[in-house]
Amino acid sequence: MNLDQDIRTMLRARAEEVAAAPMIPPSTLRRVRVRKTLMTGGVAAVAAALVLGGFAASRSLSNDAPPVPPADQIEKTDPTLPPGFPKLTTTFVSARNGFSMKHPDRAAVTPAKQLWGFNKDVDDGFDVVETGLAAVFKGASTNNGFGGDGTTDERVDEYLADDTVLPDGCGVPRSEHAKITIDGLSGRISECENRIEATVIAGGRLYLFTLEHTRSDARALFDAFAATIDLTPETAVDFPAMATSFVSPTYGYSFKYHDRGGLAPAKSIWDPRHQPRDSFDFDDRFDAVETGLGAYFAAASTETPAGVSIDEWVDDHVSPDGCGVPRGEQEELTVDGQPGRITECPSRIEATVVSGGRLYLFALLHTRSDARAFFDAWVATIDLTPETAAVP
Amino acid sequence: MGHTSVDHTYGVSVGQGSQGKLAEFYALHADSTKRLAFLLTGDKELAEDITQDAFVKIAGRIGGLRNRSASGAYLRQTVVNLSRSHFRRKRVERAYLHREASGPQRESVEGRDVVEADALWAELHALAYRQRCAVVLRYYEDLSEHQTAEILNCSVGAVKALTNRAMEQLRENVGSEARS
Repeated sequence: MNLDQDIRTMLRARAEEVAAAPMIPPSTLRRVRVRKTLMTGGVAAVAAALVLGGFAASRSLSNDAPPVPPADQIEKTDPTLPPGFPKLTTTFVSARNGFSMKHPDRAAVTPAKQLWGFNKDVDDGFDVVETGLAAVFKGASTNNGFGGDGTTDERVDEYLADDTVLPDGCGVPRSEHAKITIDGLSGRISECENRIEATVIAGGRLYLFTLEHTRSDARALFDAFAATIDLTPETAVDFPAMATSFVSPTYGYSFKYHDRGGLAPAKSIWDPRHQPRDSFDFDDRFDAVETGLGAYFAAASTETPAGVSIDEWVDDHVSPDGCGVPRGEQEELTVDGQPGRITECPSRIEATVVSGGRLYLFALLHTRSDARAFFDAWVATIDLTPETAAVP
Repeated sequence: MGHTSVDHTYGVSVGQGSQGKLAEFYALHADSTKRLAFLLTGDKELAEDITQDAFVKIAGRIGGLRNRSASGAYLRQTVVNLSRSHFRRKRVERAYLHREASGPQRESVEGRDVVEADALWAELHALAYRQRCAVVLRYYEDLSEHQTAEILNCSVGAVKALTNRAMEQLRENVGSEARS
């Protein structure tokens, strides 16, 4: 037997059995970005220390030593902070995730752009605090996908196992994690290489906080951040950010929506002067967006007839019952700077506004408890351009 | 690495952090990286994990290499180190689980895509990790003894010794299995 040749042949044949993923997996790209952030922050901090003088250049990131910040930011009295870590002096209030926390003044904060787990880029769902000191703190929360059977730990594990959510409890079941208290509530914490993850449930809402790091004192740092967290699940936002623009080819407005394939521009003309509405449905005369999230937006516009009271005309032709409130008595709102009226029923919200001789109707059919906030967020994206309307 | 000869094209680009260039670098080296990882570990899923870990590590560091052509070698060394780390972890886990009580274990047993009929493959993964590395780097990667010594961080003499002992063991064990 020629073992040399046999081993070469066998190795080549075995190697041919495998092929890597054809493209860089998103998880790898994310890790590359995180790693780059950590390294860049650490290097910058070391450079700052050198400029200030006196810091031994022999210390490097690889030995896991915490870089030293400027002297005026060094915490001298707070025992909860790792030595040399700047004070947590600045408060960040998450606009999406329902919490607030403190961070060093010098930290760079990137608020969450989208619902956690809703975008392909998972980081879009996290509020990210880049400390510039080899540590990135992140927070996100959800009440979507957190239902189902099983214990709380099992449901959390199931949710975190979703590839679009990440991370994964460091691969250890939540029931085996150590305990941690965040804002007075009992949570769980797990630690793996270069990452710490904690989960806590408040108001039926799952919160995840992580620290990605290259520090030896990461746990103390995480605890210091966690001690500043206030959980406010009542302020969390559970509808998606609206980033895709729609310009109505018919009715003279544009708005933004979250594109999940639910856009349906009007196919026929809405003409309430000759087609008074007699139902609460919005048919193909309306530009519509089916969000797939218990919310259906509809919009249209028409010229206002001359010589009529807008309130009475709307009550008679546009909004069949105004949710029982005549337009003249409805709550006021502003759409693109124009004063209008809004009315809410249990499963429907309608707003009307006049601009440039046109009456605009914006409506939401829903099954959501946060429908008004969702509607307001949508209305905030509307631009009224009556001059571009293509129909009377 | 692994029958690829155009490392120099991508060294600086990856270091500059360009995602597009990283994608090109990945496309060029991913297969050979995973194959090396597979030969060292015998586990396809683990090899994929090690491949991704290797690209994460090298994406942040390769720009600092003075020699652009070193990117392939750096990637190769990263795979060897990551694979070794895996086996170290497995040893620790086994210690905690007291699995030694059931007798000495061959590293080839756990989680590997071993085809038992392929005695040579099985015996390769019964070798000590450094012996297996020496064999794979010399006979699959076609590295010189000097290049292998650099990656294994040992002397050329040590590489010769590792390779010779590995080949003797393979010859003996595969031969005895064939006889039986």
